[in-house]
Amino acid sequence: MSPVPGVPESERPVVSASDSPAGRAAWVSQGRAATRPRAERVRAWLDRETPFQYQLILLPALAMVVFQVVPIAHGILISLTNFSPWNPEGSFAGLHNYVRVITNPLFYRHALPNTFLFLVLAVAIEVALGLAIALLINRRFPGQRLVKTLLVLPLLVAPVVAGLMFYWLFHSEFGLVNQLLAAAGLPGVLWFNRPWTAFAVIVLADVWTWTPWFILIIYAGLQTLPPEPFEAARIDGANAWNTFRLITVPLLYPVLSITVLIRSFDAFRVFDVVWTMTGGGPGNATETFGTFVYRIGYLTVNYSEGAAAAMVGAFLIMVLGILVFGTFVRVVGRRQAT
Amino acid sequence: MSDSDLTWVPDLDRRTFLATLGAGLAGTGALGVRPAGAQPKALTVAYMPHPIQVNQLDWMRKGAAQLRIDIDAPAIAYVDYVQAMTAQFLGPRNRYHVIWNNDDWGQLFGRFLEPIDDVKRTWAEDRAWMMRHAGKQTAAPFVLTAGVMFYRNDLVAENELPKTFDQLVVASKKAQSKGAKWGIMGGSGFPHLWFTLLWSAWSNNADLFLPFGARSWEQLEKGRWTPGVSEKEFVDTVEWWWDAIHTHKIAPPAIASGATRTDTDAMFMQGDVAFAFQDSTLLHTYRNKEKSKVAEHVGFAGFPTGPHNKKGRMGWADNWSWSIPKNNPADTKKRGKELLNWLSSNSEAQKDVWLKVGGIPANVDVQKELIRTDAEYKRLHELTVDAPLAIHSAYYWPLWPEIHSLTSKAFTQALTGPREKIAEVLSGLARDFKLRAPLAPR
Repeated sequence: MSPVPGVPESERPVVSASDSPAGRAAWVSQGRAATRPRAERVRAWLDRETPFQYQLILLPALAMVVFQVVPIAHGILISLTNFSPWNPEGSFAGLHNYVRVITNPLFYRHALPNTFLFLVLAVAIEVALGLAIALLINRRFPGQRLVKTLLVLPLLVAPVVAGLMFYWLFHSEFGLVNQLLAAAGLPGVLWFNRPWTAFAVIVLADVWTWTPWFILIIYAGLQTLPPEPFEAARIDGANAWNTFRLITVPLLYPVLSITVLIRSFDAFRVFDVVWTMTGGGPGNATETFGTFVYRIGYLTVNYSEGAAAAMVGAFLIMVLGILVFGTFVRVVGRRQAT
Repeated sequence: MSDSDLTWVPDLDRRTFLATLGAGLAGTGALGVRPAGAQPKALTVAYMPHPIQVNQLDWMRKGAAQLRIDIDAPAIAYVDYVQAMTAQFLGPRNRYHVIWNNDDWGQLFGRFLEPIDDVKRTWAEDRAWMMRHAGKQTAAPFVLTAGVMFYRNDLVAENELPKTFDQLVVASKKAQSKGAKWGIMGGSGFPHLWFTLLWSAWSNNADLFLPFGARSWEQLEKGRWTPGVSEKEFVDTVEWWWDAIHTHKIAPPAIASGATRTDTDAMFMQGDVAFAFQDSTLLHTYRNKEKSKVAEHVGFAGFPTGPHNKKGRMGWADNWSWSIPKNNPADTKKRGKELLNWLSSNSEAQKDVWLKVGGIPANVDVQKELIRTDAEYKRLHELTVDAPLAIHSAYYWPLWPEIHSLTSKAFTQALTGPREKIAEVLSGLARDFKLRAPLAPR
């Protein structure tokens, strides 16, 4: 393979004797590699095929190490100490912080159940709505382009802004929703005062924000489906539901699976919309794992315990990922086999 | 993709690529390196966009102009403050040269702050004792923030101002009959609990920890502390709020879901509320005709007292200060101290704390002058600094944010649940206090 795409190595200008394959062979055969000038040796090393692949990934790898590996390692170290701003030396605390996290009722009674409930509800509604809307816009109709553009607009809104928007929409005093209910002669609802209504508004805000992401990807998936199975189904007289159930969904299965997988990871970490709308309340009713970690780590300025909580979360996400991805691989493998 | 599709790719050979990459990295590194001795001439001031700090910043700029210092002032949200300061104190980069420093945080950050004993002391010691570390002053107070009960004087006559919880219910209902949507409003979500639960608890002989009024860890240990939240006085206070929302309907249900100070401001300035509990530093915001529909009808009074109160009207007045992080270069710290000296001893800047904002100046001489010359200030001073039951409004030990947050959650849980469960919720809070709190400063 040539290091310069489209330019055969034989056509590259020869800069020095060692720069051509023949030259390099000559250097080696003459046993002079060890006595070459330093610059020549460096150039020769740089020109080797294998190191160049590593050179190409050097920068991204460096970025990953600096911005991901080091902070994670630092987080693990902090989680094993009792570090805080007023105790920056932080003596070794073993697994004490992990025990405090796992035995914290806020964690196992509220944060974990709420997070999984949110994950299931939000992702299920988003994928169902995303699929339905993608199917609708996957046919020609006047204004199709405009509709597609409008549908993805919520993706441009940051989740924290979406959270604030929904907070004010459903605010018991100033909220537009209660004003509309009043205009219709209906009593206002105290959306954030009841656990289930507060939770529902959080899910709604998340659905509003993320459904367009499903629409976009599923629509792209629909565009790539081969037309032949659909023509065959039409000729065989299959109705729309059967075509959808037996052809569209199975063909879309890889796309649906990967979107659900990615979004599930993301939903597990939900923070913005919860924090801006309810702060985890009323009481602990809408506390999720993200708000729990933030509360422990930042609000209460307990960085060590917060780091331990984050590590517990990373472990749970890993287990979740293995389960979902394993299922995905098994199902796709089975389908391919049949 | 065929090779012909790559015609747009520049003809970049391996050496050029690597040379460009190396040069880019070196350039980026060079940009990030500040030569030794090239410290900025400007002072970077960390502040919160609150009326009192915005006013102070204006005065800082005036002082800086006289002292030939440039001021750069990035705003920090209250909720981001601790994270920003942790990065400042423990990270490699000194972003801030002067920081705002509330009484809540003073003792926590003490070890990272420059002693400022050489800044002229113009404040009262009893308002700043918690801002010391290893016996040295680490903060220069610029204002005393004090909670008050704002009221609409077009709905409530001065002689009808409520002095007890029961009278507050009656006055609220009367104001509602005159057109106010709600009687009372205040913040209840973290970190705004002062303006609902805390003022009423302290006014009703109840406190988060007993002994009542103990605030430092030493005081609590000496008094063999116990949680105060499951005591009758505390339970009665929470039940009073439950009744205010659900029975008397004088308080909006938004309080039960964790209202913020901003909610209070919006509702009071909109004209929806007769009584609003807030810092006195919002006085001139409420009286600003461009922002407030009730600008011409804003009065303030002291907190009503509860049935268990034995010591009279409660009030607090605690410092907000400026500090200088220790990890700054010596000449930067020197400039910072010069600026703080100028600011705290400038009587005009201190008078403005009251005249433009509604706060209590930290400078004792200015306080005395205002008491002599300004009747409204004198009344504020009597209600707060000179209140018969003077209390500090925070705990001065590291777990205070956690205690505050737990209490706020329990309060909203109690208010959104059935009344008969309130005692149970507060017992749970007391258990949480015992579980989480018995740690000496970490």
